[in-house]
Amino acid sequence: MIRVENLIHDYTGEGTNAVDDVSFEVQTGEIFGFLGPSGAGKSTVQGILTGLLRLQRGQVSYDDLPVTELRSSFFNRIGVSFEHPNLYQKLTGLENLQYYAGLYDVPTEDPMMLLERVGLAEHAHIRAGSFSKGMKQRLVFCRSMINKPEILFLDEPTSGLDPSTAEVIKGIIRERRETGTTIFLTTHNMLTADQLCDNIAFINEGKIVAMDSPKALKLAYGERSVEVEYREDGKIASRVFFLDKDADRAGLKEIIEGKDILTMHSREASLEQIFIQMTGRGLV
Amino acid sequence: MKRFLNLFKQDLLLSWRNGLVLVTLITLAIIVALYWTLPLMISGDLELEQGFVLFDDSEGGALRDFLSLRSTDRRFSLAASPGELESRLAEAGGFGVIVSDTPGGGLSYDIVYDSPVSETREAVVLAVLESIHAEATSATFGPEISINELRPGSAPIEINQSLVVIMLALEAMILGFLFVAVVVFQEKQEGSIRAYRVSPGGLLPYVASKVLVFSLMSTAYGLIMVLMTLGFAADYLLLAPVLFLSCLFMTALGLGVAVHFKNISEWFVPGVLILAVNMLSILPYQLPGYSNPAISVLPGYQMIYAMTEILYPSGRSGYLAGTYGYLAVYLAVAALVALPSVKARMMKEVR
Repeated sequence: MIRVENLIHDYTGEGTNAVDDVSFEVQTGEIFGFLGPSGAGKSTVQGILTGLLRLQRGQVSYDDLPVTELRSSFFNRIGVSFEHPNLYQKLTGLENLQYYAGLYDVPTEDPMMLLERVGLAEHAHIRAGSFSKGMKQRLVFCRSMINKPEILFLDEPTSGLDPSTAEVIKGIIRERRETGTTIFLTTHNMLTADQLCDNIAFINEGKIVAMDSPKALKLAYGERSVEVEYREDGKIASRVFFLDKDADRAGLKEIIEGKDILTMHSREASLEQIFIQMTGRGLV
Repeated sequence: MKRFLNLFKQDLLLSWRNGLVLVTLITLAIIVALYWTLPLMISGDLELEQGFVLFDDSEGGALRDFLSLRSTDRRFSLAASPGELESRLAEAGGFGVIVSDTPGGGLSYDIVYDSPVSETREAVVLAVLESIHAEATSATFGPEISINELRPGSAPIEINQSLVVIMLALEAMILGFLFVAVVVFQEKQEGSIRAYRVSPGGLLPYVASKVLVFSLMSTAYGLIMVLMTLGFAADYLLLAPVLFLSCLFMTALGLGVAVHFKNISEWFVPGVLILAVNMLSILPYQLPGYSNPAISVLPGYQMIYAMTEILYPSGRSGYLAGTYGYLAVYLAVAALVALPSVKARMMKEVR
């Protein structure tokens, strides 16, 4: 379990906190989404969690062991996928993975198998510098899994990917969760977070403004309403029924019983709508 | 060890892919070509020990007899006629001297050059002739002077041989300084160092791999250069460790300096300044009359004289022990610069 308590980080030392009193927990085997716009403090928190940034104030612990007491062997347990593909451009895809595999003290994945999983096997012997952004993103994702990590830190793992490739990556992430990997997902893509995460935290201007499961957040902040399309007098009609209103509930019952219903959708708020509602700004 | 070997292999591969090996080979080819062609390109004007051809047409042949009896070297030859003297000059160069009687009973010297000469050389030739004339025409020889050598005399170092020393002491050393900076900036620019930071790689394997790869490359460059110029005349068992340690020092220093800059543009001025200061070491070597205590502590200075002693031994004892002493100090300084710098600037995020 990852526990973060009262985390504060100030780059300038002038009291302008990039992360301001952030607390949360990530349970073992869950996908925890960290959502926020650019500059909200997501990467700073991830940097502290992965040991890239020095802990200034607050506590961060892994299974009750403070991050400040972690040794280099800790890095055998984690995998990190960066938003901006940071690869050796002059090494091939396979050489990049082989090189990083050689840094770990634990059994590692077969690099070719990983490349096959993300559709890069036929580009294995091509230098990473000539890869497209999406290919680089997939290679970085592969690299994060090379040491079979217990904890995966993924920063915008589907950024720059076409929808079908993004689905492949999401499928792998779900598989990892099934095998007990804890995943800390940093993104501003609310759809990805909605599809993958067990719990999410919204961060804005360094502070967490909401934290719960996506469903609970949508229920808490969305409207309990249903939109129905039905046929009436040879035409298609549409109407929204608010379930908290007696008249609407009666009207919905009447339509269900008496009309030819074409579609019926519950109208939950999207995560993005909730974020805007809470912060007054979008996620981009 | 496995981790270090993995890093070493990767740094070596990157050196190859970045063209650093190619640059080294091209530089090597230029230096070797320069070594072999330099003697051909330098004018013989200042070759003051070049031999001369003598035609003594005087009645007594005093000069001819004097030189034949007195001179222990064979840097002159006798000609039977002015025509033979000229044809020999045309073939072999140098200068000729025609001695003839004057109406007053003295000797006249005509000096013949195969091509125009500088005033310096002309003055030297005149001084030599005056000295020979004085001794050859006097009734008694000059004072007997005996010369005792404390140690075997070393042959004079030719200009192309000096080039090998300078290139070993200054250029081979700076290759590592430059190459390690190239790779550091590449890792910073590509961001690959960020991925290393979240691996268990650690500080020591990273530093050791970088420093060793480029030190070995620089050392190999130096040894091959010596092999292709001096052949097997050099003592490689003495040369290799001194060269390797000096390259190790300069590469480690280069790593410790480079990590403080974001890119090669930022590094350029301070980096080149460090190299330029070290290059000052060449001044006392090329201008023996120049002495400066500050320069004598520069690594380049110590290495120039160490390499000279190794390649062209003068028989001075204890010199290498002093060199190793200096190298130990330099390496300690480089380690004190490199390790904390790499830890602070490469192993953690810096904003």
